[in-house]
Amino acid sequence: MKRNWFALITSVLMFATVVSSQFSPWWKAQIGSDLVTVNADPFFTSFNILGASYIIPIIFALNVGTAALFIASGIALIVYTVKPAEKYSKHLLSFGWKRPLYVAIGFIATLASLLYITPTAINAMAHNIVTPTPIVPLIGSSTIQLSSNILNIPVQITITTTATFTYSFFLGMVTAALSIAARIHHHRILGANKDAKA
Amino acid sequence: MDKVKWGLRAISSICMLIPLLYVILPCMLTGDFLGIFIPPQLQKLAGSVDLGQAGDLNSTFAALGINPSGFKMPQLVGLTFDDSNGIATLKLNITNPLVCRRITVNRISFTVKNGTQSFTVQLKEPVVIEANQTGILNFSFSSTDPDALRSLVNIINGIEQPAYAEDLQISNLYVDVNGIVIQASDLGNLRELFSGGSP
Repeated sequence: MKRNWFALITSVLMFATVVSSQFSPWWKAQIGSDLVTVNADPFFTSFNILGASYIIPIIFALNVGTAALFIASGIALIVYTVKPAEKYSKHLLSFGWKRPLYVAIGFIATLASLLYITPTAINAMAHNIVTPTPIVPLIGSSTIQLSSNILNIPVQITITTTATFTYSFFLGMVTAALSIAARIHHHRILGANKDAKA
Repeated sequence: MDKVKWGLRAISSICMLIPLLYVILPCMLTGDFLGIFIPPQLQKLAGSVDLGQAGDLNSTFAALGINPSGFKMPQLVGLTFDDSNGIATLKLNITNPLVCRRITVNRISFTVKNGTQSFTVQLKEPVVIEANQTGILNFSFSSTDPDALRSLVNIINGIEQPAYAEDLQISNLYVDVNGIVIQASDLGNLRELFSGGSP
């Protein structure tokens, strides 16, 4: 019986992605030199102000839910790999292969929209702050400029922001790509297993 | 097969609903809806801002990782000029109010103008103030014109009082502290600056 090795590798990488997120967030942004750090991740999002770490409760709940679902999908893919020709296996594959893709697309879409919506909101509320759009680039560096008066002297304050995707993000992308390969490979496996039975 | 399909749907629902209910339910029961969106450490901060509790500033600062008793203006301990290497050293007694973060002064530079002449003074190397540290730190400055820098140090220390000292203008200030850059094109007269007056 032929096995869908793409599905097995995908499931292993799914577990690895969740574990690596605990050590390195998918996307990391810094405002100033470590003054404010944003660690955006589908499984563990946090932010850090002046060295103190904070977690937003609702995002934490969504992260835990996504991680649990991701792990459950990985387990479903392993069960599918053991018995790919069973009738119930197509449901397991359907449940498992979409998850990395949904998480990757959902993460990028949410992150990009937040980066574009936030500066619009800040510029509307605070007129002396000129925030670039996006407020922090997806990759690279940018600046936020404020005009102020210190001791009656007009000053220009520039805050450097830098952002980068980490290896966890690329691991997530590879997992998503392999999950698509696992889905495509499923039909070949079914065909090959039918031929073997005949 | 439907059992598998429905079982997987149930797993999806359970995985997402349980964490959400775990966070949302306690907040709904206590009527604390801000607790859904604001980290527990920052809830005191939001509460004191809402109620205008200025007296609770200490806990507000503590929530932000700032030691409230550490807020002190840097005190001038001394300003000297070393003729052997042309470097001016400014000694300041500084307290870092940040509990968990060091402060790094990456760059300070400014231009001193006296009529048509001008020279630039800049920090020789970055200065690090460790978290919660109080102590005297040396800021070493070099200049494009060491003789002019010596005169500037003497003027500030009150050793020299040349006629042009009244007209010394400070401009092009550039300060980089922890990646936050403060720039001022014109700070005005040096004497007014040191006497605390506006330019």
